[in-house]
Amino acid sequence: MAVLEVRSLRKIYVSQEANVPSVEALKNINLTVNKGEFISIIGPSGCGKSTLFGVIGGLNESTSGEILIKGEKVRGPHPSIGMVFQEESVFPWLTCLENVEFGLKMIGVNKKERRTKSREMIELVDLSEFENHYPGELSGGMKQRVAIARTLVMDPEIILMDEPFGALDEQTRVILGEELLRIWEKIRATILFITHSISESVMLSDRIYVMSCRPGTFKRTIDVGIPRPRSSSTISTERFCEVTDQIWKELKEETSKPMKITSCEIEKN
Amino acid sequence: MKRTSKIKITKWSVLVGAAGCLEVISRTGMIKRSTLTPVSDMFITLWKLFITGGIPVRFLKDSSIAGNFFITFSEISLSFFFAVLIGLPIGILLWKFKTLARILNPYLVSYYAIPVFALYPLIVGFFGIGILSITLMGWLFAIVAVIINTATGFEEVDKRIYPKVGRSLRLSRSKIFLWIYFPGATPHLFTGLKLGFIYSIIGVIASEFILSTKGLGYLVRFSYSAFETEIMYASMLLIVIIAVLINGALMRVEAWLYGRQGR
Repeated sequence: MAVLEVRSLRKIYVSQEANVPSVEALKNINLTVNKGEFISIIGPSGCGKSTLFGVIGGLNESTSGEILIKGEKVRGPHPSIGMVFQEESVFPWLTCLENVEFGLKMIGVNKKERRTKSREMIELVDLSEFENHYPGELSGGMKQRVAIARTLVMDPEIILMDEPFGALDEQTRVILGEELLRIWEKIRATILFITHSISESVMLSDRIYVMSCRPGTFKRTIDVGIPRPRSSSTISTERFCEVTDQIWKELKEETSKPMKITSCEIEKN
Repeated sequence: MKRTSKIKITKWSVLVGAAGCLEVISRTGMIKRSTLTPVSDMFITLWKLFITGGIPVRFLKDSSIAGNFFITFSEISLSFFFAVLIGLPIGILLWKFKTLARILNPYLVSYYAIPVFALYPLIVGFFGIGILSITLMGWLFAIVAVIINTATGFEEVDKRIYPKVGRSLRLSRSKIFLWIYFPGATPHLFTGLKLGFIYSIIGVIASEFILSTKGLGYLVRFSYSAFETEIMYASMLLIVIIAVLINGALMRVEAWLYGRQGR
């Protein structure tokens, strides 16, 4: 069953200045995510991945096309969707525990209940020792764990992640990827994961959408087909290399394209 | 010895050394007593003033230490209070309305390049000599620091992803403002308050020099013209002590507010 569907989505950034052309960021995006799937979207930087993330999350408006959650058309942020951002998003003025509790507090869950739930999530991301620390006292990887816990505690059916490990070093990235798989298997949520790392996408996902540049659109879908549970040894399997190679070929074509901004007509309506 | 304690000791030695130098210079007569009082005498005089509670300078309008202190204290507090009460909302408005900010920005940025004190005849003309004028000068001096830092604080939050986190959690605008923008802007807001308070002190004391008949600033000026060098230095010392104490307290509050957050 499709929990999330995106139909012929288009996004144009209309320019406010006369001498700056409007930019078509996304074009004809079609996407189907079934319940419990782990889907990745991969593309070169600047191809509109983050725009797509914002549109699906309801933070940005699309120019045309529609987004359906469990068959229902949505506009704006939806309670079934949880978002994990690329940038440092944990609040520096709150402790880890308070950060995780934040969303529950805002919807009026009582202190005892939200504390229990939050502690559970903090334990899940392995940060129990640090629940009373401020983000300033934690490493980048730990902060991202807090951000993940903060999203999970709201019990979303679909988790959108925009390069959540993008700012981290290679080792931390691999470790957090494995952690994410472990968590995902435990909570059985649906994950839509945006990344620019090929190995990360192959390692984590069931299906990978490869994105092309300017305007961003899906040029190919690849079924990974590597059995689960996966671990770091998955990297040395033949299938892993095969899929990596396929994605690499697609992306190479994209990145070798001349970097030019395709302007488009402003639609007057 | 640890580095921090070394630094601490050196810091205090600089202060004590400087005071010691002044003491020696004036005690040996290198500089006349009528120009520079030995530092130890400044403290002794101040102590005596406190014990007797009165200032032994002839023709002084209000000769009680408490009275003068109270006047200055009220002027500072009032000017600071209104600088915050009016400056904070203006700062928020500037952040909300970018066009307004763009119009006012050149004035705000160049504000401290203009000596506000040069306007004192204007203020005296309108409001006369007294508490009102002095408070107004302190207020004028302090408010822009509050405005600028408030606007900057909220703009900084805009540059971060935090408001989007709030929106993804489907929070209302007012909740996002209260629970995300406000705490996010706190470090800058506090800088604004701290600067505003210091500017209030400067504005009030300096105005008392020129347009007052009461207060600690006036006391300095009056004892200076009355050749009461010792009293003058004692009053200056009192002002310095008050400023240092207040600043220390503000730093404590700051450390307590977000010392561990490391931001």
